[in-house]
Amino acid sequence: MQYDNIAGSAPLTVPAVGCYGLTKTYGAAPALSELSVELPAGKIIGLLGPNGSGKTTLIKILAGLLRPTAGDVRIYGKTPSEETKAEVSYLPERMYFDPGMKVEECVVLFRDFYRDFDETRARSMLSVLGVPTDRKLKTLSKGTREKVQLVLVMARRAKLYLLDEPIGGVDPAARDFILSTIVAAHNPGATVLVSTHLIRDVEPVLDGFVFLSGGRAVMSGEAEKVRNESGKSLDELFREVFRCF
Amino acid sequence: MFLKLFKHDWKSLSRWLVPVLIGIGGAAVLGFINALVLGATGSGNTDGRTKEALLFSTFTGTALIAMALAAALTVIAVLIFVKFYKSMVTDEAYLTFTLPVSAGRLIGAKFLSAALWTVIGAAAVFAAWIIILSGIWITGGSTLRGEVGEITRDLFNMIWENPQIMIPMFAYALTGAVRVWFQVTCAILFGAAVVRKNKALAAVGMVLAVNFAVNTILSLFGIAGMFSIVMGASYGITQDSGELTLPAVLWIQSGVNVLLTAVFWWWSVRIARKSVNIE
Repeated sequence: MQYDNIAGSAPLTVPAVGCYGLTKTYGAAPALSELSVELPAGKIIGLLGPNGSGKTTLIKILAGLLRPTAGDVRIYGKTPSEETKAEVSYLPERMYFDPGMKVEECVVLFRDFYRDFDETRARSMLSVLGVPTDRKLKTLSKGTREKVQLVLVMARRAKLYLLDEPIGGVDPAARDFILSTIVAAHNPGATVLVSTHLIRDVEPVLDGFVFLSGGRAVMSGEAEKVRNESGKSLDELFREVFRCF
Repeated sequence: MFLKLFKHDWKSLSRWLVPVLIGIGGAAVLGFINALVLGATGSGNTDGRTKEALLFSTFTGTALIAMALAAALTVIAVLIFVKFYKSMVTDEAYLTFTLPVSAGRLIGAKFLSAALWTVIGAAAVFAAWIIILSGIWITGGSTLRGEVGEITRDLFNMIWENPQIMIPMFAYALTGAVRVWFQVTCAILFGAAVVRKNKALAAVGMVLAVNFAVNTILSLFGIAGMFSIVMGASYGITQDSGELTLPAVLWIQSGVNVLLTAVFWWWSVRIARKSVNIE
């Protein structure tokens, strides 16, 4: 597949994310199949697709948790490494803190390891949410634990945010909070890659999108442009595109 | 960055191991009280049957507590490796492997914190045993005190008067402990982080397989050492006859331990850097 560029033309600057013939297989089953796509910097981009389309695999490769079977992947021109990990803020779809940690210890951990972590902003957001920092994570509700993780990830001044299913499995009110936090808190000029299959919820905040199916990019572009040209919302388009598969 | 990693690993282990240390402290107090009664009973002038019953129960109690304290070291080791498994393989691995640090520092910091906690645990158990022994010493009367003192003196004399044996034995124990840690680390990483399914089973399987392989290699040197002792090398303190002596065997095994540690370190770092798959 040819490289798709969300800006619609050849990028003048280095793309935030570049995948070139990216393939990842689990045993014999391909999760990503020669995926080639470039994502521009400074946009909120939806990585949209049904379950098993390769969204999480792509995000994990970008986060440095998985190694591709074949092909090349670049983050601002660099292969995933210690260097890119310092610039990438990753929110997995599960809790990655030790449940025995206090919220305060999570804040200190982020302060110690991430130079781009804005501790003041994190504490302010936690305070607004009424999260007690002296409590252990295991004593908090699931929703509050997820908020703590989201706040810490978004309080980094990262160049690329990788958010894996941030609104999956939460109630509509929590979805609004999460999406507003993503929009309001992300570092201006940074790229936000949000993977989800809940397109209707996430569509209002997206600048661009990539539809993934069977580990391939089947459509990508600027959200507004596609809406204007097709006269359809991304949600309608998604249903239309994936009805064919 | 290494010190920060060490700080967080240390804290993470302390959440699990401080309760174990408190347990060791509690067992020491209980054992001390038991030992006071044991000592007093042994030196007292009570009725024969009552004395026997008291001696039996307090001796059994003290012995069980002393054995439980020894088992606490195993508990500490198991907790350290479970913690390590969780941070490198389960959900917590999502954080571990997205930190902007090298794989070498990651594993090195975990080793250092685990090693220090093991030393602290061993020291706590040793201190607890001393506390229990002191209970017997206090109430045991002059005869028993004399016997305990004699055993202790003999033990220290054996250590101090035979440095040619004790130094290589210490080197062997130290290098062996370090080797075992890296061996298990490597096996967990290989068994659990590389395979897709049944990760815990794969990790345990690899730990056992690597352990078997390594012990087979080391036993070759061990058998040679034992043979030399049986054949009359008398601990091999002198090497006049050019026999393979016990100290020599211990030094060779220490060297093998160092070599294997290096191999396991290199392999662990390589897996963590290049092959780990956190699915």
